[in-house]
Amino acid sequence: MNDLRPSTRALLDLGRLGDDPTDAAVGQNRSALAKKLGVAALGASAVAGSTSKAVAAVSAGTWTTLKTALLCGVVMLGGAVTWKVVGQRPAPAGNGSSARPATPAQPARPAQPQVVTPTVAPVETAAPAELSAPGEAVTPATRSAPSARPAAARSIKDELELVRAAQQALNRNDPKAALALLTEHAQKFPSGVLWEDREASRVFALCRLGNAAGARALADSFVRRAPKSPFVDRVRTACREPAPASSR
Amino acid sequence: MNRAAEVGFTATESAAAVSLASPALPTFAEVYAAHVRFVWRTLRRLGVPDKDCDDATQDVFLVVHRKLHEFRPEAPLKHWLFRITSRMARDYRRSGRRKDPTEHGFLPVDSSDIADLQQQSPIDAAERSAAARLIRDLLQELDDAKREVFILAELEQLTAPEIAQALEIPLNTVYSRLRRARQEFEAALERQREPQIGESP
Repeated sequence: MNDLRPSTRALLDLGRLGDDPTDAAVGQNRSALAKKLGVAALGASAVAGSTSKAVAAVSAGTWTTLKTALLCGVVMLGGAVTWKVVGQRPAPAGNGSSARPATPAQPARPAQPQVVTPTVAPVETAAPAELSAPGEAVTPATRSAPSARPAAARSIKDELELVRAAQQALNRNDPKAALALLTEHAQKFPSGVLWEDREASRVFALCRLGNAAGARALADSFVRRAPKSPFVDRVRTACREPAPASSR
Repeated sequence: MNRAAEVGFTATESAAAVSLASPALPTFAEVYAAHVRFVWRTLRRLGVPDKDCDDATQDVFLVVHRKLHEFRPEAPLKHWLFRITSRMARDYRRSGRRKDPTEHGFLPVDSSDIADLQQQSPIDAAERSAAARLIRDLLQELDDAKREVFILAELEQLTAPEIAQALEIPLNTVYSRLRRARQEFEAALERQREPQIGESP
């Protein structure tokens, strides 16, 4: 697949965070929204109805899926960023006493936020032949009917879970765990749709383990195998990238 | 390295996402805190004028408030939000609507408000805002379908399977749209550069 030029990528990296609103704009937005919802502040009491319905509709098992999905975007923050873990359940209707504050605490951001690409850039990979038939995409509809779910869709989901778990391990600076997961992916899905993600992640993991020679060898092999992959630039320079901040 | 930036989350979003990862179910307030920036920037990238982004963001979350109980968490919440946001953006663009900003008692937000000058040096903020503005201009040269895929892939950094899930389209459609979107984006950027070359003394 055609990739973007490095200069275009640089532009995208620079502008990626330039569209975010300011904290002040978000504060205004929150206040105005609370007013529209007819509540004093945007806390749990404002949404007890929706939340209670959600509680009824969402089983504990399916919520685990949501947590997993959200965790894919959650990585350890270093520096001045403060973690805020709040585990309160939604307040019952009409009782806002146990609700979170209307305005969640704003953790301090690093003074110079960096715009960087992900440890494993989540971009597309080449579609293998077994996925070439249209209509085999993973959609909530297909997943909601497991008996009718195509095998390809199931394998994509399984692949995604393994690769995501590996990326999370890398993000928490646990390259050994990442390698184990990537090896499992390689055994189960040697030509899977996410093979590029897997191989690139292996390069990054080897770098983190200090095995620069192994990483370079694997990177060379990767580039030969997928010279147009969007990961090419990153695997070539993988061992020059700084390791992530250690956990909390 | 800012680990939050690696996955396209702001620090605030990451903190909120952590709270969502707790054993609790998400409240509307938590969903708002976790994703308001994502919704806002997506609206801008999808072509909603700056002056309308505040209203449009509120409208998205009004829909979320009404439909949160319908959300099925087999897929990430962000995907569901993107679909709502995308529909809202189309609605705003199509109708060209603009409500009186005083209706809600606050002033509209323009581009200069976007970069968070408290957190970045003025130069960084200006560069980011300028780059973001250029990207938005270029995005407007893509059609809706390609623009959405490009935004999710190149700016939100979702994988192709995730994009297929978010947009509820076949995986191969994601690949083909992204390929064409990249070509058109590059071409638009090239056209953007050409006059500058001609203008140089």
